[in-house]
Formats: sequence, structure tokens, C-alpha cells
Amino acid sequence: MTRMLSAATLLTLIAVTPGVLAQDQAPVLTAERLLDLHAEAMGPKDAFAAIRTVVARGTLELVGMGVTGAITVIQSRPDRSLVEVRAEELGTMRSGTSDDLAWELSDLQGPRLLEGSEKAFALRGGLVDAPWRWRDLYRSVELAGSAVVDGVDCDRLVLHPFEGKPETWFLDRSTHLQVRTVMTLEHAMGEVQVEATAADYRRVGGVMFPFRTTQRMLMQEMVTVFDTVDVNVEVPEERLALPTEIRALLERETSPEAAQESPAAAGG
Amino acid sequence: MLLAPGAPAEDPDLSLERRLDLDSFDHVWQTVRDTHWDPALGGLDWDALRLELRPRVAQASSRDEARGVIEELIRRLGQSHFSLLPAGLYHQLGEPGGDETGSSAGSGGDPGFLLRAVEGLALVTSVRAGSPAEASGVRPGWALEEVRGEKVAPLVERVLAEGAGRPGAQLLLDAALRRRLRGNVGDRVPVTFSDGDGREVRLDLPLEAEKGSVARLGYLPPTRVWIESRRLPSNVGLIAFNLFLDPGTVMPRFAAAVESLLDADGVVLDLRGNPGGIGGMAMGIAGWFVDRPGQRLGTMTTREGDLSFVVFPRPRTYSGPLAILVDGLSASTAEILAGGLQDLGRARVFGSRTAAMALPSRIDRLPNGDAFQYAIANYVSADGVALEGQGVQPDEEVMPTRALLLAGHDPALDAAVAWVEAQPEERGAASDAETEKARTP
Repeated sequence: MTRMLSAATLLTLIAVTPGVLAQDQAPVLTAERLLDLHAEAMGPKDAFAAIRTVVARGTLELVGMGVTGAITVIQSRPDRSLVEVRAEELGTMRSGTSDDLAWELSDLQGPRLLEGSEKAFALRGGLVDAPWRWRDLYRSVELAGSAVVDGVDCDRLVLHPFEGKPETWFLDRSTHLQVRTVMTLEHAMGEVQVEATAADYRRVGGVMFPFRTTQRMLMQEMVTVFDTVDVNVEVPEERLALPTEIRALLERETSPEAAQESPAAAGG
Repeated sequence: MLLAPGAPAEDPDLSLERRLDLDSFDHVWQTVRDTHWDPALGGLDWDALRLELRPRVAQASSRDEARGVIEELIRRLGQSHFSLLPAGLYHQLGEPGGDETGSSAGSGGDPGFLLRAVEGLALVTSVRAGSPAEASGVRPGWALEEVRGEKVAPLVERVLAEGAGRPGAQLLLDAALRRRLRGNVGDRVPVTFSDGDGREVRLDLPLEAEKGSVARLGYLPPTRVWIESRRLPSNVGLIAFNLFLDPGTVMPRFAAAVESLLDADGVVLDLRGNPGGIGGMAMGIAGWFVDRPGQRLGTMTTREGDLSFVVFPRPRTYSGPLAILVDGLSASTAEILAGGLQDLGRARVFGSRTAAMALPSRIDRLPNGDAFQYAIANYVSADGVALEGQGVQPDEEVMPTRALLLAGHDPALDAAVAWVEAQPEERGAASDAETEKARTP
């Protein structure tokens, strides 16, 4: 299950921002205005601009399975990220982004390069200042009504990325914080419906981070609780460097032999 | 407590133990109702079964009796990967409160030989090097006649008769024999064999810890995992491991094994006796042998969608002939890997039909302390065959015989090596030529 809960999903949630702008009696707003309010709720633009790195550490649990692990999430400007999960039973799973590259590496399945909409999703999630860049990341957005999520009145927005399936965001009507996301995760193994909730927002370095996220997919629930979130800490270069196995995959893809493969064979 | 609508009124005088058993029954009933990939449960009247069986749990006079009723409920599904693991198993095998040292956790003591039902007998098929069994002179081909004073022949006959034509008959027999042979490390087990000349050999074998390291996966009882590899004299590599667990240990060792065998004339992957484990490891292992991206071992179907078992090729792959050995104890993930690579034409499979128990499953802990394993998906191979109930049919069926075992042969391995040796020597990417090679004798 953890494999489907890619770095992108986790990073999307951790990048969710707060904004405490009361809108109790506000008239119906446009989707664009709500996303701007959401960005402000997550933190002032200059606060995001001041963040060079984010390092979050916590625990991850596959609920009801008796499987737990340690999770570390790292984001670094402009576009590098790493999610690392270490679980005794499942080994180590890492995923990351760097420049225009998104990858995964696990003891279970080995290395792979993400492609298509899965890659686009991962790259979106790897951005430190994603809340303020929604116009760059989504082709269009629309307000699709309201909903009550866990007792919270929410605006329901549908965001259409430039590549990939639409995401439905539920923004707390009073705080504009993102409390739930429902989407179809387009994984190499297939399309999976994911429902993710974010809670326990706390301000760190002037911006908001959800310290607790819950993701449900394929009848499995996964809870991530961050114990610490730090910004602007030094991240050793080697932490975000491409793993040897990923570099080897890239070299293979650019080798003359690979270039000679026909598209049909490669897609086999 | 997961009580479903329409639950019969309970006797307020029920003991705490019985209430926990009822809660456990309800958990099992509701979990199957809500998670089985087939909402219709193949036409079973699940509500009626609850009304029929739940009162029997309430009336049970013991935990064992209550457990038996719950087992009857899940048995009505007629599918593998639905089972109860008694709470006592966890304490016995190393859960907190049990043996936490890891010295014997996971499997306790074992005399050091493997058995299979061959020609209606429980025959020794291999003897662990350095084990008490080897030191006592036990040899492949010997027939186990008695364990702890109990005749083995009636057990073999009964289990094989009851399991005839059903998935996992060999697994049932293996479990029955292992239960009788195992015990605490340092204990002794009296056994009687018939040797190659038909002479009776009585031994009192000490039990020692099984090889391997203790692995855990959620609520699965801790168990020992090992992986071995070597280069045979014929320059064919042999890789064997007993479970698809502990990927943090097994997968790097598997990688090292393949890397060391890249120049071998062929590789034999021995999945005999391997009952499976983490499904994802099948994809990870296949990635060492499949060079082209986009290949699938098969697809699992859940109530919430389908997932393909996609192979992600490693940066360097082994492109030579690949043989896989299977038997009636190869189950679940072992079947997914063997069947998938067979369907892709990447491997030639030798041995006997697998256990036909290939449903992806989860394990929950029940209110009464037992654990409940339940399948959440159906699995269909790349060729569209449901492995459950069908299993993997080898390309070359090779059954061991007593005579061959006594002569020191491993017939399935011998056949695989002979096939490798018959292959042309050219080596390239695991491409169409390689695929065709695996499909032809």
C-alpha cells in the first residue's frame, strides 16, 4: 500500500497551507478567489519565499495491519524532494523529485522512473510553495458546491491539472485550509482512488503544515503523524542526490541500445 | 464493536470470553461482507450464515469450540487465505509475552529435514547441512514412518484423500507433519524411518533453531526467513529462499546473488516449499529477469479497483535462460512470480503443480486475541487465468521418485539444469528470442 502512497501524495498534504480568514457570512466566492485565500491561509507569500528547506519527521502506520515505520519528508528549493519510509517489515522505500525527474526506489520493487501524469503529480507535490503556484500547476479550477467534511463546512473545488485527472479539494470554509482531497492516483500499476485528509495544522516558519494526515486507498488506511517539522535546516547534498540505482536507470535509458528499441518493444 | 444490524439479543450472563468470541465472529463476518472482492460472495447467503452460526458461538463451551464455529463460517467461502491464527500461536512464536530473544522465535526447534508426499509416503527430500538429522545419517529418499510414536502413513493417507483435488493438499500435509516434528529448541523428537534398503531406523533427534533470521509482518506470526545461492558445477546459478518476507534483508541478498551470476549459463530459481508472503516482492524479483518495461505478472482485483503487478526492470538484468522450480507447497506470491514469468515466456517452470492458493490477503487481530487472515482480492495471471484453484502448471512436470532421491538426485533441478544446458549460448537482452527460448523444450 505504501508504494501507492507516493511521495507526491505526502508532499501535497504537507504543502497544504492554512489561512485564518473568517468567512462566516461571506458571499459565494469564485474558485480562483478561494484558492488565493487558501494560499494566504497557508502562509504569506514572503514567508514561503523565505523557506529554503522543509524537513519533517514522524511515524507512519498501516491501520489495522500492525505495520508501522518511520517517515522523513524533505523538500528543498527549487524543486527537489525526498520521502523516505523505513519499516522493519517492508524495508526502505524512497521516492523523490529533482529538476524534471520523479523516481521511486524500494527494497520491494527496486528502482523506477515515474512517467506521464504520475510524474506530473509527483513534481507538483515536490514544490515548497505549491499553494501559491496553483495557477502554474492547474489548467482550470471550478467551484463544485459545498460539503461537510468531518463536521466542517467546506467549499468543494475541482482542480484540473495540465496533465492527469482532476483533484477534488475540500477547503474549510472558515479557515480555507485543505481538509480533504479526493482524487484518482494514476500509478504505473493502475488507477487508484485516494481519499486524503489533513489535520492538526501548525505554523512553522510562518507557514502552516498538517501534522497528521490520513490516506485511504484500496480499503487500507494509512496514518502519518509528524513529530517535528523544521524549516531552513541544512540538508546534506547527498540526501537529495539521485540514488545510484536511479542514475543507472537513467544511463540505461540514454544508452545507444535503448535508443534502438522500437516503441512497441518498449511498451510491450 | 462491529455488531451488524439484526444481531440477535445476547444473553446478559455470557462470560467475558464468550463475548469476545462473539465480537470476533462479528468482526470476521462483517469484514468478509465489506471487503470481499465479490460483493455477492459467489451467491452465499451471508446473512443466513450469520443467523445460523452466531448462536453456536454464544453456546460454545470453550474458546476452541467457538473458534471452530468461526472457522466453519469462513470455510463456507471455499477459498484460500481465509483462516484463523490462534492467539496462543503468537505467544508460542515470539510475540511480546512469549520468546522475545529471537533465538528460537518464529519456528521453534526443528530436526533439519524436509518432507514431501511422494508415492504415498512421507519422504525426506532434503537434509539441512550440519543439522542433527544429517549428523544422524538421515538421507533423502528415507520414508518417515513414525513421529513421537504416531504412525505417519494413516496421516498421509487421510490428508491426501481429504485434500484430493483441492488447493493446498500438500500444504495441509506439510503443516500436519511439521506440527508433529517441531518443538522447543533443545528438545528431542523420537522418529522412525525406513531407509533405502527398507530397514527400520529409530532416532531420537535433537531440535535446533531453523536457519535464517526472524522476520515479522504485521500480525503474521514471526517466522524465519533464509535465502541461499550458489553456482552449480555446470555453471548454472541456483537461488532459493523460503518466504517472500523481510524485503530489507532478502532483496539485497537476491540482488547480490543475481549480480554474481550474470555470467552464468542459466539461473534456476527454486520456489519449492515457498508459501509466499509480500506480493510486491514478486515484482521486485521479476525486475531482475525482465528487460522490457511495461510487462505485467498479472492483475489483482479488489472491490475498489484493479492493480496490475507491473515489473520494473532493473538497470542491469539477467538475460540468460531462467528456470523456476515449484511444487505443491509453492503458494501465493510464489505462484504469482512463477506463473507471471511463465506467462511472459521469460521462465520455464519445472516440478509439480503449485498449491493454487493465490489470493492477496490481509491479517487483522480479533477481539479475542486470534488473528484473522482474509483475502481482499482475486488474482488473475497475465494470461488471464485465475491462479486460485488452478495453480501454476509446470512446463515440464517432474515428480520426485524414491529411487531417484535415494540415488542422490533432485529430479526437478536436474531437469532444469539439463534444459539450461540445451539452450544456445548467445546472450542478449531478455527479448523476444529469450521469450521463445523459455517456451520451447
